[in-house]
Formats: sequence, structure tokens, C-alpha cells
Amino acid sequence: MITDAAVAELEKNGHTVSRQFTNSCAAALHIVNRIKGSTVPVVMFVTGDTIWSDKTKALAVCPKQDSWPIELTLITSVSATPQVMCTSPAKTAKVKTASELLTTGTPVRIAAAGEIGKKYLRMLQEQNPKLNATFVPYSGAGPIRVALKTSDVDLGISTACYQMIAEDNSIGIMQSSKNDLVNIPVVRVKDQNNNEIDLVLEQYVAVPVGTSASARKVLIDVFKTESIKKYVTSIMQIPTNFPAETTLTRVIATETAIGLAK
Amino acid sequence: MNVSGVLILMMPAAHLIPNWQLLMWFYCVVVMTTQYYGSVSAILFGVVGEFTSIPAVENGFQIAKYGLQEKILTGTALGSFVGAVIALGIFMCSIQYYETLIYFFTGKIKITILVMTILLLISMSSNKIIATVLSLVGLYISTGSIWYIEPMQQFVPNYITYLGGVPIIPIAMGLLVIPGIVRSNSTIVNHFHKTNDTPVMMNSTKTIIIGSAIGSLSGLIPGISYTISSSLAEAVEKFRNTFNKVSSPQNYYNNIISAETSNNSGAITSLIPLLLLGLPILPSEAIILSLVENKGFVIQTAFQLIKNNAILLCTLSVAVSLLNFYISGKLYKYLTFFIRYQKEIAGILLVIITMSMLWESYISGYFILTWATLIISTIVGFAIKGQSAAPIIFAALIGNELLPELYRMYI
Repeated sequence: MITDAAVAELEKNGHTVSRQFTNSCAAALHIVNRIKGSTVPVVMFVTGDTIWSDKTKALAVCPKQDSWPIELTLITSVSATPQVMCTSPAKTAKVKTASELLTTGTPVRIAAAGEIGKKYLRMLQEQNPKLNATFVPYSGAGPIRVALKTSDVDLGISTACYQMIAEDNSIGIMQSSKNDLVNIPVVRVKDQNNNEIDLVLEQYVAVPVGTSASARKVLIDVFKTESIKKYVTSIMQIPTNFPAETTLTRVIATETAIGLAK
Repeated sequence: MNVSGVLILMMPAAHLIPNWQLLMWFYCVVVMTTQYYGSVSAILFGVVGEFTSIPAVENGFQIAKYGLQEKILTGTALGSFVGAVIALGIFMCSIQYYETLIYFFTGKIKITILVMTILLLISMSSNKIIATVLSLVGLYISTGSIWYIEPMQQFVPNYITYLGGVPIIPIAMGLLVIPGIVRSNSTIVNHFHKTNDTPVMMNSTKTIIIGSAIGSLSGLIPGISYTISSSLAEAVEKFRNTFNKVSSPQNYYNNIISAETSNNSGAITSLIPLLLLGLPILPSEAIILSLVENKGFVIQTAFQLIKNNAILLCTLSVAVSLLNFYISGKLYKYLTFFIRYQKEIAGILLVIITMSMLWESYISGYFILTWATLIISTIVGFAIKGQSAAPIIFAALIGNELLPELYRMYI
């Protein structure tokens, strides 16, 4: 995981890091809110988690921002990766190409997790009436990967698909934007003004408002290091280092385009 | 105290363990260790530490008449060691077939296993109606739906933290551990008395091998797993004894050896679904899974851990088994100290629980919620007489896995 690489880098630089995993975004925020003293709590988000969207329909994942116990601010981006759809590696795929999926009306069960993946599928359904897909919700990339292996679903939408395509004989059907690291057909969706958009899942780092400038700099520098970029590339995701202002603008632009933002 | 009790007791301290890998190793050691010592208290004092000790208590009482308790403890330790090594071999072979296994464990199979586990836990409870109701309560608790009830929200600021489920530590502590400790002050029957008429024991190699095979297979049964291994092995051994027409003390001797060998084998093979597939088939496994998931455990990393550390796991298992073999087979007299001072130890454990719950309420930030939950759960735990607590805890812990899987199956 990217956090592992970041922690290793921070520890190499003499910082003491304590990691805490939680079952939900809400629990993570609660913990961040309780951290006191000189410790700097750091949260990693992905687009759609999200700080600026109205999350009333995803209570267990990440509740409405106005009910959060703490205010966070973005300090840097880490990666920006298209959503990719892949087949189950366990049996003969029902569909093997994007055009087959979008035009033949073959019924398929598609697994997705997270707001961006789900949104990509919903938009594909709206914009391709012949797509005959049942959306099957999962809690993350790991469970989607298992569901694909066991053939519980025919297709999955997840950045984890990149690894499955490389390792597990899974076929990459389509991706939501260009990823130069892999050769998979690009199928873009359109925004409300009928413009094609590059839908990408962005990972970014947030800290509580009021975190000192020196602490922010340490974190920003860590996510700029070669080891992080190397790790991100190794999982076929695209490393980025947009500064805070640009990161915020990008997140808002993406969420506005797909109707997630307020 | 059984494995679940040990785990629940240490749950608050889990915050201090830096990563899930260490927690998982710890669990493996606890599982391998507890099976060795149940026989000591069972044979020497007739104390049933957990369900697997029942054959040892029954046959131990009989074999005490012949003054063979000390001899048999060496035998059970040896049987346990051999059983553990055989099961470990099966475990290691299963790693080779991981890819085949994971393709087999579809959503429907997982649902079947988890539902079957709950049903079997209910069937083993003394009051099946109460156990059924409690299982449903456990599933409801796991959804976090309780926080959609407005009056509840007023009591807990930032209740959204628990939308993924309610605090399980005080529930498990109150339902299972505290009543278990209080009830553990049972009457102790001293089985130490010797006669001069000590018969010579025959070779028990076949008994150990059969016990290992029964334990290894039954360890994979959801819900009951190795808790039934010893009774199953004892039943088979009784049948063999009838067929072989062996002498009476040898019967009891073989029964105990077979039972104690099989529960060790079963304890190890029961780890296969958990470690390779992230699938709990016992309440104690559901507890450890809930702990490691909070520290970054996901199914692929579990398999990688086992695959990359197979030699370490083997070495650790053999070392732990050897140590336990030596202590339970040779130094058991020192262990009797703990059995003689049960009341005092129970008192110490209750103090530890109080301290750990104070720590838990500090860590979570919810003092009133933690203690209110503990008190209510303890009252319920005593009211239902302990035996029915396992289904509710298992259901509360796996509900987050089972209910979404059911939903996915029907869409």
C-alpha cells in the first residue's frame, strides 16, 4: 500500500509513525479528532470519499461533512488513476470487449466500490442504453478481486484490475481515461454539458486545519520521493504531486462534472 | 478459559500491538497452546477448561483408579505433539492449493459456511430459543442500525463512529468472559491416588494417527471445528476398543490419548480457512479477524504472509509444540499451582478486566457507552447462563460479512 511506502520513508527520515486502520471513514475521523499534542494526524482520501460532497446516501462509509468532528485540508495529491473494468479470470468471460459489453445487451453482474467506480458504472448505464448490467456493491478493491476470482461477478471496476490483468489472466475491457502504463481501450463518459471527461480516481493527503507549515512540508516532501513514485507506478497507477490549491481544484472539478459535489 | 476468552480478555491490549501480522502469530500460538493444558487440569482435577476436555475428565477419573494420571499426561503430551505436526503438514500442503481453494469459496459457499456456523453454535447451546434470539440480536448489532434510533443518538455524541457496528469489546467481555470467570470456581476433585497394581501400557501409535486424522478433518467443520474433535475421536476409539477387546485401563488410556491428539490436530487445521481465505469458522476466529482487520488485514496480504513465512510458521509451530509438550508432559506438577488457586486467579482476572475496560473507554473516548454496554452485557451474560453467548458474539462479528453477501446474492 502507498501508506506503507510513505511510512517507511518517514521512518527512514527519523520520524515516529503510528498507523491505525479503521472500518470506516467516520471512525478514522473520530480518531484524528482525538489526537492531541505534537502528533500530526494524516488522512489519505480518494476522490469521492469526500470532503466536499454531500454524502447522505453513504452513511456507513463517509458521512456528511457537516457532521464530521474535524475540519481537514488537502496538502498534496499522490496519484490520479483511471477506473478500469476487467473480467473474472476464473471462467470464460461473457464479454471480452467494450463494444460487446455496450452494444449486445449481454446481461452481466459488475462489482464496484467507492463513489468514483460506482459513478462510472452509473454514467455508462445512462449513456449506453444497451448496457445490461447489474451493479453489485463491494466495500473495496480487495473484496472485488476475490469476487472476480470466485466468479461471483462477471466484471469488476477497480484500480486493482490493473494488477489482475497483469497477474491473473483477467481481460481489461475498458478504462475511464488514458493510462500510459497499460494498453486498454479508453471509454470516456460525458458530463452534464455532453463533454467527454477524464474520470480518474485521485488519492490525496489531508491534515487538520491548523497543522504547522513545517509538518505539512515534511509530508509533502515524503510524497514527492522516488520510492513513493516507484511504488505507485509498480501497481500501474499514475503518480502525481499537485500542490494543495491545484489538488483542491481538480477534486472539485471532477466531483462537479459527475454530479457528486454540492 | 478457552481461546475466545483469552482473546476477548486481551482485546483492549490489541491497541498496543503494532501490526496485524504479530496479532495473527499470537493467535496461532494461543490456539496451539491452549489444547495442551486443558488435559492437565482435566485429568488431575476433573476441571473442564473447555468443551474439548470433557473426554479427558471422564476417562481421567477412571484411569485415576489405576494411578496412571502422571503416565497418561506424558502420553497426551506426546499425542498432542504428533497430532500438531501431522496437522501442520496438512496445513502446509493446503498452501500449495491456495489458488484452487480461493476459486472454490464463492459468495454462496461463504454464506453457507457462516450460516452453518451460526446454526451449529445454536444447536450446541443449552437453550436453543435464547441462542437463536441472541444470534439475531448479534446480526442486528453488526449492522450498526441501532444508531438510527434517535433516542440512542442523544446518548452518544459522534455516534456515526459506530455506524459500522457497536463496540464489541464490552459486549464480548460482559456476555462471555465475566460470567465464565465467575463460574470457573467449580468444585475441584483431586484425582491423585495411586495403587500398586499399575498395568503396563501398550503401544498407542495407531490411536495417535487415527486421532490426528479425525482431528484434522473435524477441524474444518464450521462452527464446531476442533471443539467436537475430542468427542469424535473418543467415540471412534471406544468402538475400536470394543473391536480389539483391549483391557479396561488401556481403553481409558487410548480414549484420552485419541481425544487429546485430535483436538490439537483440529486446532491447527481450523486455521486453514482463516489464514488462507479470511473466513472465520469459530467464534475465536471471528474475534481475531475483527482485531486484525482494524490493523490493515486483507485477504491477499494474509495469504502472502503465510506463503512468505511458511518456514517461520513451521518453525514457530514446532517450537511452541515442543515447549508445550515438555511443560504439559513433564512439568505439569507446577501447573497444578494455578488450579489450586482458582478463586484468587479469578479475582486477579476480574481486576485485569476492570483495568482493561478503563483503558478501552479511554482509547475509544466513550466512557459511559463502554461501561453501560459492559454492565448490560454482563447482566444478560449471567441471565443466559453463559452457554448461549457464543452465537451472539459470532453473529455480531461476522454480520458485516454475511449480510452484504446475502444482499449481493439476491440482486
